[in-house]
Amino acid sequence: MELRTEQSGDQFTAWLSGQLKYQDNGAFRQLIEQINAAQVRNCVFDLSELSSIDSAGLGMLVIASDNSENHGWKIEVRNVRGQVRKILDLSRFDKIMTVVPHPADE
Amino acid sequence: MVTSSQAEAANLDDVDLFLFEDGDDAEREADLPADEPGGDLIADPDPAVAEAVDTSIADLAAELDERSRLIELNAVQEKTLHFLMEEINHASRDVEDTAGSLSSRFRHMATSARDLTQVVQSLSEEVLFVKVENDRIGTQTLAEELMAGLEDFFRKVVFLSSRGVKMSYTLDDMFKVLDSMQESIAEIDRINKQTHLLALNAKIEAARAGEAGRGFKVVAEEVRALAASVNELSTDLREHTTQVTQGLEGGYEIIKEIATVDLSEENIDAHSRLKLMTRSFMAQGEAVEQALARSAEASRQVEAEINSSIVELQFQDRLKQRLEAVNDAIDRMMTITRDAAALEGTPIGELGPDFQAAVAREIAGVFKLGELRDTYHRQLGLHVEDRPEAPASSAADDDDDIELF
Repeated sequence: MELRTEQSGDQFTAWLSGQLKYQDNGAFRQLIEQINAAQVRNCVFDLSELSSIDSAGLGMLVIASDNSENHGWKIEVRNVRGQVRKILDLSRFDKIMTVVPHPADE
Repeated sequence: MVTSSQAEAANLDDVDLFLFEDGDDAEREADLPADEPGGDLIADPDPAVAEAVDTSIADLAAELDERSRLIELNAVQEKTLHFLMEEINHASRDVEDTAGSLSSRFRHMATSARDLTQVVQSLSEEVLFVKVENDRIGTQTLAEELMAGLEDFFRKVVFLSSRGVKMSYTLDDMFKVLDSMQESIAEIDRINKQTHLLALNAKIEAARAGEAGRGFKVVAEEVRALAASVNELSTDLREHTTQVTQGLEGGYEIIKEIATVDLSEENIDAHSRLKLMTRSFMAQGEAVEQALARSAEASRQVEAEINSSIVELQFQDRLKQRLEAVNDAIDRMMTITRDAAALEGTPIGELGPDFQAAVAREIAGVFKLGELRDTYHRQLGLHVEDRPEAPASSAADDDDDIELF
């Protein structure tokens, strides 16, 4: 996973690209701690460049969701497409967070 | 008495109309061939024969006095009416038989339709329900539960993965603690080495001091022994810490396996297909349910139609009663006419059978159905084969019949 982040006022945005796998759990944990520390209201995970995700990756998103509840910020997953979108649909991620599909993936 | 004479008068009128309207007869002669253009069942109305018959009726009528003519005419009429009554009875019986057999067939059909309805209903039960242990579960519910189960499975996988990732976070923290433990042990080792060196120096200084340093030498020896023990302890501690680290690293691998479920494209596609199949299965179940409902409804309608047909067939009884009433009326009419004729006291022996045969043959011409005409011929003693000679032979039969009256 490659990561790029940006904070602008209350808004935190993280662009995740490549593959989100178990091996990335260390980096993802740091990201979550970074968001908690930033004390923002909203956080967007932009997955437009994320090509694949495994169950550990889903687990990390769930942990992000848990943290958002515990630290008072809103989570949104944006621009999901391809295999990532299929998996999020299949495991009904829309029930635990806002999931916005990529406009080109309708 | 009044009735009899009235009947006689009526008969007279009838006969007059029938016998002496030559104009009508002439018209019928002309019409006959045109009306019957060579039908299969229809007797060939040879114009020559018809004319001959008419001529002979007129001639034969002229030979008889009015009374005899009426009596003979009455005899033919009575025979013909008997014949017609039998025909009516026969037709009524035919209708009764046919109605009876139709009713029984319809009843069979109604039974079959009812069976069909039951079969369709039980079929819909079979198709729409699955027996699971002692419960009957609708296929719709089954499909829904399957879908819910699939979603639940995915939710659990995700939950398990998230717990796995969290567990690895905890392990990471523990590794950090273990690292600092290793550092602490290294620090203990460093301090212990210094202690050991200090003890050694103290021993050397004690030796140099001679007798005065003997006590100090003992203390230095003890400190060295203590340092050796601490060294032993720290070696044990380092070994144990390494073992714990190795064990946790193994656990880390296991947790990685737990948290990582293969979610490759093919795997998802398999699940998507399962979802699609379940949806199709549900749609199909609905379609089958509707089709079976329509089928059951159609069977019920067929049964209802058949039942009303059976009810309608029962009106055959009314037809039978009406025909019986017609026969009774004819019978009563004949009795009255016969009584009136007997009152006249006409001697039967004087009747002319030739005239009767001629009139009978004329009537026979009315029957277009060959079978009917032949039966009429037979009953009135007319020979069908040799029509021109018929009057002679029929006359004898007619005589017998007339004597019965």
